[in-house]
Amino acid sequence: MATNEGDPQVDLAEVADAHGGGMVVADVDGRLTWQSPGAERLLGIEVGSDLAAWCARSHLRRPGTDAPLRLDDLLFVSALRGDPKGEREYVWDPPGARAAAYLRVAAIPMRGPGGDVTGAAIVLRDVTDQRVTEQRLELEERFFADVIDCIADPIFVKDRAYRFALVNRALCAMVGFSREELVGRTDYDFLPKEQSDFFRLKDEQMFVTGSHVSIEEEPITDATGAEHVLSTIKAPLHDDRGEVSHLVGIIHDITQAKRAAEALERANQALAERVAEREAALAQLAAVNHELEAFSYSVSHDLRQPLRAIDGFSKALIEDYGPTLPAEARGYLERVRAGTGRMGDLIDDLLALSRLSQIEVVRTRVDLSALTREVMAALQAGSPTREVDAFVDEGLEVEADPKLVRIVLENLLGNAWKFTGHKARARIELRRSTPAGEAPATYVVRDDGAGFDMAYVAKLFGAFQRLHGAREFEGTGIGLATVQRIVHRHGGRIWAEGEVDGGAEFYFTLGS
Amino acid sequence: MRDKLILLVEDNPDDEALTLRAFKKNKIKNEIVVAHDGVEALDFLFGTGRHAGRDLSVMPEVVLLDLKLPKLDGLDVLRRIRADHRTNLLPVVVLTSSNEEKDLVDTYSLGANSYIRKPVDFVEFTEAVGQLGLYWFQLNQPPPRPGKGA
Repeated sequence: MATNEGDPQVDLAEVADAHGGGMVVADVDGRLTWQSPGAERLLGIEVGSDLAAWCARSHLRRPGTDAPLRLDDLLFVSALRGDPKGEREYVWDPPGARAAAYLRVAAIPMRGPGGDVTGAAIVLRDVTDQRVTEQRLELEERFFADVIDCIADPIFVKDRAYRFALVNRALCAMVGFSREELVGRTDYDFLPKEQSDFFRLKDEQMFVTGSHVSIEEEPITDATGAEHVLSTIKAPLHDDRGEVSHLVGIIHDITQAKRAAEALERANQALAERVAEREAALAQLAAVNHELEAFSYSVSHDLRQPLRAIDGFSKALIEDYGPTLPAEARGYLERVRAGTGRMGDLIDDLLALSRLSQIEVVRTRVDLSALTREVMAALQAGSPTREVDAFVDEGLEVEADPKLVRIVLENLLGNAWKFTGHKARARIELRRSTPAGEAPATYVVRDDGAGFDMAYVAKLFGAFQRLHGAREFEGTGIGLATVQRIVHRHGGRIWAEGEVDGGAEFYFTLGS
Repeated sequence: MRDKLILLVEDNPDDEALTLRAFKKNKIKNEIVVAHDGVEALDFLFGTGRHAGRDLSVMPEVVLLDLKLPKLDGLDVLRRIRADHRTNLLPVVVLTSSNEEKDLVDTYSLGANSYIRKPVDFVEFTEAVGQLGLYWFQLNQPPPRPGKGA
């Protein structure tokens, strides 16, 4: 190795090893002619060895590949060819080591006095520790990136220049740009100015105050054009000196919650409207009911008064002038009085019927069997000469309004009593027609009386509808209408079956 | 019985005639004063209006009061009778066409002594009035009259 006068006089080996690496020198044939102690320690090679053979034996390769190197890829070969200084990194397997090692290599051609290449100086440095650390960091970074990518909420980190430093997959999906497109860029690069201004303002606020900034609600249109409502928190990240170096933003998509809240609000609104409508309807109903009450009151008073006058004065006429009146005239007056009496009954029944739609149904346990026997006893007492066999099922109990159920039985049993009046010996029953325990329980009042023609069954329950002439059977024609109304008020059903001179059956339920 | 006075408060001339006839039929011969509306009834009881200056020591034995009256209705008349110390013990029998339960409750809660529904049938009506006479004029001991004997 040539030295010139005035050159610094240093031990080359010392220089070569100063940074923990080493140096070897190869001749034009690629044989090792000199090595520093550091190089020897590092490579475990001997002077005189063939460098290319050593490289092959040591499985020297470029990082990231497993392919053996071709001769041309070896840096010292290029140097021996006269290529200027090159620098390259290799991976190799040191004998006895468990893991591959990293070698940083620079090769410089050496020339003779005529300028021709006489060899190559190769400077080496082991960078294994550095690379391993880097790999570990990279692994950690990837681990961290994988973790934040798994989070469904979009997350980003911006530096103090407002550039994206880190974004997760959710954020990319939301804005429609890849990680590569986003990192290093600012909001202004892909958002409308107005929106960017708004975000910038919040970012600045965070950097200035160094504390959390919340954006409660912000509408945004995503990459697919869908509208979102976002809630964002921006928080500071500190560097090792405690300075705020970055901001981290965590975006929570509250679109669903917001929509649910809005739907709830709308539902509440609709409910409030319906309640208001209902209240209005109830008020109207109350007004109608009130009017109806006033009408009933008026009917009760005013319709009866003239009847009383007709009856009273007819009676007065009979009493005072009876002797002087022809018998026929007295007969007519009696008919007038009978008519007014009947009219009075009609008014009373009609009023009772109209009252039924106003009163409240108060349910308690009612012993239907006992009530039936009671009503039958009263009927028997009213016509002691009648011979009627009563058959009443035992232990029939219903949940119903006792006063109203009594009216039902009085009417149904009263009808049965009335329409069996022509028979020497009649039979009246009250039975449960459904098996015990079966709901709804159906009861039947059955008689063996005059019955009716099923052709007219539809007329049976209408007010003032009568299937029998007054000469045959008395009645105002309101009884069954009343019964039906009571049954309906209980949420029950009533229907009838019968045949002329074959008796009648009235089935009813009283709801639950 | 002869000096015992009945105040009949009735606006309807037919009912008035029939009631008077029913009294006659039942041989009730008391003097009957008829007031045709609520105001007139109160005028008679308190000596006001067209009855100003009336001798208030003469008070009816019983007031027969219809509920539906012009000007002041029966319930108001009853309320005023009960509110005044001169008349608060006066027997009042409500005679009405109504069979509304509400009327019944109202009249009793306002202190009516009896409530009779005028039946359409005149015979029944006569019987009802007859029983009324029997009770009020033969069985019932009238309350002491304020002011009399002092």
